[in-house]
Amino acid sequence: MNHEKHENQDAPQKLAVVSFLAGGYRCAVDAAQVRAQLPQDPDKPALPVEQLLGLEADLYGELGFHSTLLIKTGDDEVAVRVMDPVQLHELAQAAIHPLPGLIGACNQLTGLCALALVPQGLVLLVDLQLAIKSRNSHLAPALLHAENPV
Amino acid sequence: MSYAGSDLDKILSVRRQTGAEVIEVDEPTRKFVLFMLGEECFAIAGEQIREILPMGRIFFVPGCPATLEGVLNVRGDIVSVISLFALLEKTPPASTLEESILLGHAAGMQSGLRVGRVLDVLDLRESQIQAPHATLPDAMARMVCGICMHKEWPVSILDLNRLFEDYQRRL
Repeated sequence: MNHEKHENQDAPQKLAVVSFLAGGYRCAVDAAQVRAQLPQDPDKPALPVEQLLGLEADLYGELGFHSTLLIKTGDDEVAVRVMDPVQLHELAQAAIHPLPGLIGACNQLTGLCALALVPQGLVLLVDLQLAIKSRNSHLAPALLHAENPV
Repeated sequence: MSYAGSDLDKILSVRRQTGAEVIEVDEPTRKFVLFMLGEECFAIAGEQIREILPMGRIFFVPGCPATLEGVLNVRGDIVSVISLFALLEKTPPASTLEESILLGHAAGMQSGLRVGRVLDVLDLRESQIQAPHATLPDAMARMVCGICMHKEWPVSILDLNRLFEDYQRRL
């Protein structure tokens, strides 16, 4: 009981997040994962966040404006393309909810870690570092095979 | 012709006395929440239902099975919502005013269940519940654990443990 109380007192009252659109859904990532936001550079294509999370691309969204988020991955970074508006803001602790048990058990999205309820509706809280790591772990065997074909 | 005092009468008299000597023990009853799905009646054990809520705004969560419609805000907490209409292939009513959300808990999990009109809470004895028919449609076969009658209507009793276990195994 005392240990739980101590943990609750350590938890921040607010979480700074960077919100964006992906596949037509409101998403947000812990701001601590974001190194920078840059305008989309057609000469430097970034990884679409829909592809990273396993979301279907929003056809209307392809016509909208996009930005690039540089996501920290250790000493390196990965450029991820997201749809505007991109905003840095805070979510109150009370607005953030763990994934309900059944959703956690059967959801197919990569990196979905929590949900937030805000006046505008539902926000999908995503762990982009985890999603990138998961993607790399799936790609590594394929690359290994390409380098060492049987 | 008079049958009074006949052998048959004597036998029947003895048999009736034997029947009267059977001690009736009060069979324990269980509560069941009775509700509609389409044109059919269903029930879930009362101990598996925490609360009955009015229909509210369901927020869609992508990446879930089609029968898991999203989440609902229940006094500041969010709960998942499963559509029993979709799961059991029944037609939802034309208006959401005729729908309710049952807050169910089983298999260590909790979820809202989108159903039609909640009709009643019944007290049923185990002897009133029969085994489900072997000819149930596939969508219902796994979820229905018993059948009973209520006001001459058949009621299919659902087992929430099986339902939630299937979701945990990702259906």
